[in-house]
Amino acid sequence: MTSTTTSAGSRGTTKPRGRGAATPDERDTSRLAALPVIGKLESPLTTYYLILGAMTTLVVFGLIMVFSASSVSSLLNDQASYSVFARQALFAVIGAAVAAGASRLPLAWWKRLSLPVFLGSVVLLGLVFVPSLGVEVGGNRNWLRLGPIQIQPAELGKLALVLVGAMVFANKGRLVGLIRHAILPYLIPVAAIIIALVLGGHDLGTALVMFAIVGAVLAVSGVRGRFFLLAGTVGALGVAYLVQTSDNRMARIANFLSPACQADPDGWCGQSVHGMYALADGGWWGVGLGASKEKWDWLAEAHNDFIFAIIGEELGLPGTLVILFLFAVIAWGCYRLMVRTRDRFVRIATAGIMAWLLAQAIINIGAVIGLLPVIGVPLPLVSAGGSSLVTTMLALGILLCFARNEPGCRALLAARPGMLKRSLAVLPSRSPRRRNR
Amino acid sequence: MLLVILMVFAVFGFQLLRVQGFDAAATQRAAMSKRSVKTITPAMRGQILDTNGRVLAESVERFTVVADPVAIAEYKVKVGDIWEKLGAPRAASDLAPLLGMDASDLEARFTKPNTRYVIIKKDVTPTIWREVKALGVPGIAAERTASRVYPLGMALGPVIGFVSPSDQVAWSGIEYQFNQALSGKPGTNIYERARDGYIIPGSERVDTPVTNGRNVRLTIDSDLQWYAENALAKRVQEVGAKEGSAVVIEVATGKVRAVANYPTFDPNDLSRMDVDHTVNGAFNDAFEPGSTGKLMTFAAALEKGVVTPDTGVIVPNRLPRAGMKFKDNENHPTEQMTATGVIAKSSNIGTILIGERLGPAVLVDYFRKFGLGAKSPINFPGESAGNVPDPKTWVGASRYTRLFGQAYSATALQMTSVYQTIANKGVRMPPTLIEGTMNDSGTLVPAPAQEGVRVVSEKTATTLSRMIEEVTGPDGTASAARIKGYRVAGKTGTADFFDQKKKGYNGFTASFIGYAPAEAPKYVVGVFLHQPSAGMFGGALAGPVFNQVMTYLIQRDGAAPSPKSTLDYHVWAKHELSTSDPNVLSEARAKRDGL
Repeated sequence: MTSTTTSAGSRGTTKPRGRGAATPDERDTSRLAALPVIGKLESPLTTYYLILGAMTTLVVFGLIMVFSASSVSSLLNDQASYSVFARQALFAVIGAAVAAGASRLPLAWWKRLSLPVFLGSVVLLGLVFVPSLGVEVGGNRNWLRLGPIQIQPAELGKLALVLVGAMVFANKGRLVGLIRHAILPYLIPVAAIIIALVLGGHDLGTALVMFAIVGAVLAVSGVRGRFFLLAGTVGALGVAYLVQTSDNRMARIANFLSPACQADPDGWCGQSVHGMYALADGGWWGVGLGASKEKWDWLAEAHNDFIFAIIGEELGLPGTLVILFLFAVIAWGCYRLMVRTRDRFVRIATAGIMAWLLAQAIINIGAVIGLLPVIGVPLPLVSAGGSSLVTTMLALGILLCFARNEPGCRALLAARPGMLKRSLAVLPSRSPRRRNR
Repeated sequence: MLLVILMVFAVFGFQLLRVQGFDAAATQRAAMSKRSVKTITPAMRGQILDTNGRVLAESVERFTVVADPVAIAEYKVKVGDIWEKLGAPRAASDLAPLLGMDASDLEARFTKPNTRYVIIKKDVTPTIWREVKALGVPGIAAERTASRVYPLGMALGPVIGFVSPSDQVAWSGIEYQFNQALSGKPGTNIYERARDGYIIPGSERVDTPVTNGRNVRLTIDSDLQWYAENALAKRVQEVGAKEGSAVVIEVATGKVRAVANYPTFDPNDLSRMDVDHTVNGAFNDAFEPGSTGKLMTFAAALEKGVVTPDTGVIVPNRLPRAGMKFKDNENHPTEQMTATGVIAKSSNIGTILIGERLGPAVLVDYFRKFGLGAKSPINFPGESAGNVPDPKTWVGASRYTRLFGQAYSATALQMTSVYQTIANKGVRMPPTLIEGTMNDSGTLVPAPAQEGVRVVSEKTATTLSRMIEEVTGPDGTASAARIKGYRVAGKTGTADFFDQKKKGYNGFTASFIGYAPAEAPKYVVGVFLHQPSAGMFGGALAGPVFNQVMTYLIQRDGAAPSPKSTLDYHVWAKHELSTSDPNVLSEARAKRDGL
């Protein structure tokens, strides 16, 4: 997130006046609306359905791909081939319920909830360091064992960063122009605590996503460019320091840049190389759903961090491009929310969530396709992993809640026939929509 | 923010186009080479069959059982209701009786440190391997191999040859000669594997289909071969000969029906093999044939009109030629014989008196027409062509010794083939050993047929055949070759044996070549014993082997007993021969004719 993305006005105006994005957008919208087909698509409900549609498609897509990618490794580990899929499906159902609940919650509740979410996440993040509760996976101490389930509190931390940031800066109004107000209390202590706790568990990937969230929140809140430059530099230096001080991370960077490593399927970069093998095997049209060869224990984390490679292998270029497209749709939906809302809280929170999802997607996909070093974050909504899926769906549920509060949206939604009637819409009936026309 | 995201996505999209679309081929190859595994399916070596389709050599499936000590430690056995991990000791005690090995030895192999590959046993039969596999011991695997089996064993070893057990590479004999047809081509399969070695379902494909070797059918008759080998082996031992050969050729076709050599070797058990015994001496060793070679001298003399069966020959005890005094096997007073008598009693002096009337060029021409000095069409690996010296070298004593089978060399095969020519009314059928090879559909593709070559006229052949019946007659040299009720034609041979190792003459070659019933022979049998320690004469030493083999053939074929011959030939001259008689051959006449 850089300063050029500051699209919303810094003075809290309702009318967005970005540097080049907003004005053309309005023109575009009106021009597009003039077209017969696009015009029909444009309605107060568009944002709602964009986000809902993209989310649902990604989750279902993800379930299918998790099933395909995990079936072999489950089987080779003497488990039922659908064991990972079944867990993921369960979490998808939970996530759907959470998202549905979140979308129906009154908007004011989210402002009220931000502080409890923050406190809760700090407590949970702290509990990770309690020896009997924290679990270390692959060098990252970021799991918390609570009875029969394991959760990643860092996921909740992301949500806390978004909500607290939105609440703080929505209330500060024009005061954010002052550096003191930009830093306190959001950067220090809120963001600092959460990020420090995450880095304490050595989870650089999640920390990077959190940096992106913080950056987006600050940018949309109207923090001055100068400060932004400063903060960005400090942040970059911080990340550089963190990388520098860890042999593990230095090796990752060095190997990422080494062509020899990137060609050796058995070496340090084996996961990355096998990811590229999977993508290339898929080629233009893919080898077909379920027919991946790299999932036969060649590609590590095939159903998790590297599920994008399996998508590329089985479904080819159409599969990977559809994923990119769906994330772009979410980004567009968020953007629509940000430019259409009158509520600063909504705008800032939306920017945070957008940064969260998209930064995570970019870090994940960029690593798989060889443009970024492998850091180890899951692909939102698609990768296997309960905590990530449920919290991501919760975040999208919040976006849906915001979308329902767009001007005119609530009225239209209320005018819809009931769920049952919609489901039976194929049966002959007198459609209220027809009457409305 | 949206713009940046869309720009990043655009870059990602282009990278995906590159990775998945345009630049995918090279990565695909690398991925394929990483995953793919090539397996070689060994081609099954073809069978070698006898003329009746009986197996003389075949490859059978065998397994090399190997073990992975790391995996064997995980061996679990159900005790009561629970699975107990009992590992290598239990695996060893379970497998020992099946593999016929010592349990402690097995356990030592199963627990060999720092390796995941130990060879347990080679040449395990499929039955045993199935039982081993059924135990389900983890880490026990087998590699498919082939083992060559020779049902006739020693009886045909030198002819069939052998393949080395480790790699099935042919070393000698028919195995070597027809290796290309027999060996076939191994096939390759390619499959893609998971990291831990599983075959990924649906990834298998055939790269090169395996081409199994083709079967080769020989002219050998395995029953006859077996019988001939036994008769020969027994006789070689009885007379203390260094080595011996026996060859049986079918008269009408020239097909070799049996080739026995002794000492021999067992291609099933190469550990006890003596390399010298792997040589097919009947084809590969040329030796001086001795008196059996007189047949060619007589054939030429009859054909050229030098003698008739009744031509009188006055045979002195000594005959001075080329500064030497030639003699016969035994001292005798001057004898009055017929030409028939000369060959029946195998008189060297009589043969010189007849043969010296023919020029060396004429004789060499006949030797070559009878097949000497050239390899047979069999072209067996290492086959000898023998040596027929050029007419120009027929000077001094060799001018005369060559008339009775010395100072040139021929193989047992060539000499037996000479008698086939006479038995076949003067038409030589070049000997063959191969009936043909099987094509892919299992049909026999016959070897190219050999055309007969007329060497002497039918009249000469019939006459000569009747003359050598006297060899087994009351005055002949081979009473041991007689078969009651049948007329037996043949010739004994006793030659000085040239020992290649000592570079000089040492011992004898005793031989007998003949056929019966003489009026309608189906087979010619040649028996050759080299360097016997008990006796030297062909009739007495080789005759009994001929007798046994020929008797076996006659009985098997149910040949009708011979009628009395219409040709009345005698050994002794019917009336007093005069040295002045122009038709009688004698030293005096030779001097008169300036020989």
